[in-house]
Amino acid sequence: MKQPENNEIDSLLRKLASRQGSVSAELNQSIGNELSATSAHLDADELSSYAEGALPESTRVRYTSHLADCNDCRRIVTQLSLAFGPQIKEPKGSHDGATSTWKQALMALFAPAVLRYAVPALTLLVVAVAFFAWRQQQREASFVATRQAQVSNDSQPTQGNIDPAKGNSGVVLDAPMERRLKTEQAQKSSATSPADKAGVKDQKTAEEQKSAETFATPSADTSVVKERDIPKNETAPVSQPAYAPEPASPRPAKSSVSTVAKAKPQVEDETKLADASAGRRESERSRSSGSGEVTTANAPPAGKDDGRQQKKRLETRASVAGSRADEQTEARTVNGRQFQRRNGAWVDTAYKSSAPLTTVARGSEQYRALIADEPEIGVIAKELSGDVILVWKGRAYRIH
Amino acid sequence: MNKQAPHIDILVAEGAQRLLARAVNHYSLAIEVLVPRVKATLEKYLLRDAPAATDRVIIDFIDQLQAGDLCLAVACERGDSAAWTDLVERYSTTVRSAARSAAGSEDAAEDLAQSIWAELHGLRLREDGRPASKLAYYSGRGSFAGWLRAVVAQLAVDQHRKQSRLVQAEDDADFDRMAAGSSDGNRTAGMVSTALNPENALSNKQERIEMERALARSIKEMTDEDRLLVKLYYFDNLRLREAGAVLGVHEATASRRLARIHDELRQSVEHILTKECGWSKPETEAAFAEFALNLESDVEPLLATKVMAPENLGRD
Repeated sequence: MKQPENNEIDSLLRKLASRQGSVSAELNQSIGNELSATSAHLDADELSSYAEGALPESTRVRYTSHLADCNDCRRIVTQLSLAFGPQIKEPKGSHDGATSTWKQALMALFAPAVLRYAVPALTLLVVAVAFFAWRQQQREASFVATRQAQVSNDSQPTQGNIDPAKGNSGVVLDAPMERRLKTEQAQKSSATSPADKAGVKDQKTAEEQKSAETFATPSADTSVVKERDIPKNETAPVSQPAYAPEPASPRPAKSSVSTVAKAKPQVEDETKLADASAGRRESERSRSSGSGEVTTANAPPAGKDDGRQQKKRLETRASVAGSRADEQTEARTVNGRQFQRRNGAWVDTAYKSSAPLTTVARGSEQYRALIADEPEIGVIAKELSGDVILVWKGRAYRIH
Repeated sequence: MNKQAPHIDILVAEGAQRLLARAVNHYSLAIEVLVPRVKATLEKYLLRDAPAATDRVIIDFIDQLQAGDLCLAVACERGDSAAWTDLVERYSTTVRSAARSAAGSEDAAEDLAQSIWAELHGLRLREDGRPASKLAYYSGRGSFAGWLRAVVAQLAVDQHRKQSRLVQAEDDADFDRMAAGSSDGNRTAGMVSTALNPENALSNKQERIEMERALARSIKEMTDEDRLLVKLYYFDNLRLREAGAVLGVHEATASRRLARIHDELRQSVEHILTKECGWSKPETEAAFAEFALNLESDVEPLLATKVMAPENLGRD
């Protein structure tokens, strides 16, 4: 129905109501006002029960009929209702004791008044949950990326830590030295297979043999960390510095690619050297007993795996050939001290092979105590990677 | 129902037992005292309109009675002093507040409150000589406080009616003197007419009366619930929220009902005017618009047709 028509009816009703006292008794009677004196009014109990909504539906309907026509009872019920408070109740088909059915509950849940507020609230909740989930994903992704960057940084040579601006290092690195360092780092970090280890250990043994001619170890070895045992049958009981680089990786680092390329011309020479060292090693093996892991690890059944190991040694040689060539002439100056690269170790030029050598492992308690007393040793050890032999206050230290 | 009487008695007895157990203070009432009261309530409010109520319905009905209030009322009716002490202590404020709301002045409120206490104590005697305490009419269905307020309101209305009849009687005497003293010149003293064109005024008046009758008849033919809403909202001048509270519905529900009532009333009045009074549809619509705006202007001619009681004057 149109609103103006509703307004007309509304206006007519208001005017009719305002004139109810002045209209004729006939009209009043027709409207239903002012029941006759003989009609029974509701008693107080009925009025209060109606106002409080405490009546069964069938009884309530009967009283509603009376209240619609009785002004006095209706006014009392109005007063009682307003005093008691609103008693909003759902219409009941029959008063059978069931207060609400699942249908009514469902309808109440999906009532427009409920949906009006529930839908926006639910939407906000969903948006908030999605936002937090997305943020969590972003954080995890950034965390993973950070970790990967850290891992890749760790695999890089520590030379990056050297700050040329710092006065205490004074190290100047040239490109070959950088390449060699990178190669060594790559070799150290990528040694995995036992076969490779075996090959490298063979190599080490060969190099130990070489170094035995160069370095003299003190009789008293105060090293905390057990190094690879040196064959006890050596005439000169020296503790050989295990400064040999880690076994070569089958996939050398990128920085060593150019090194490998450079070293190609030298492969053949290296192969010859490898053969010679292999021969010496085998003879050594036969003489040694209880020489530790190197010997044990490098003691394959005679004649059976030599070919394989030799191949691997060749591969290793090929990858380090170039760096070795540079190693022979590599030199660095750290903290005013000059070091030369010899057989994979940085050797203080002030070192003399006759001086007693104290072996200290990085990270050991002895090392920490040493650098606590002599911080500069720690700086040098950080600057130079791998084995370092330096002379400090008249004593020679091998830091590995 | 007679066949079910024994069965209902059993249900009532069991319900009364549970009621006594529920009451915080049952004032040592015996179940035999309570059973008749419960049964009377059951018959008055349930079995009269739903004689075939199931056992479950009956049990729920009894279990919904106000156990504590009912025991208090019954104990007071039996003269239990401890119950009376509790009643006065808990409900004297309620009586005073209800009396103040119903009465016009503080003195009238005090008188009303005293009357209430007298009614509760049963100082009046019934025909059989037994005290007629109002407490006997409390069923326990609603709260005792609500019942007390209803008692106060009814008593106030009764007192007002008595006073109104007295006042009306005096006014009638004045009107008689006025009527006797009036001469032919004064006969029309109370008549006021502003109609410039008597013929149009008469025609409009006739149409208005027909429309009013059609509207009144339509109101009467509405359902009780709808009619009650119309009375509450238009005749009692309640707000829609208040009218909804009386009906036990939300204001929005009452608003929707009212809109539907408007539609139905309009259709009903149009039907009566067109089908029974011979109006045309355009005439009906024009009359709606005109009388909705100008109904008040026709009140004075109507006033001229009858002598109004002084208290009814000024209601327009």
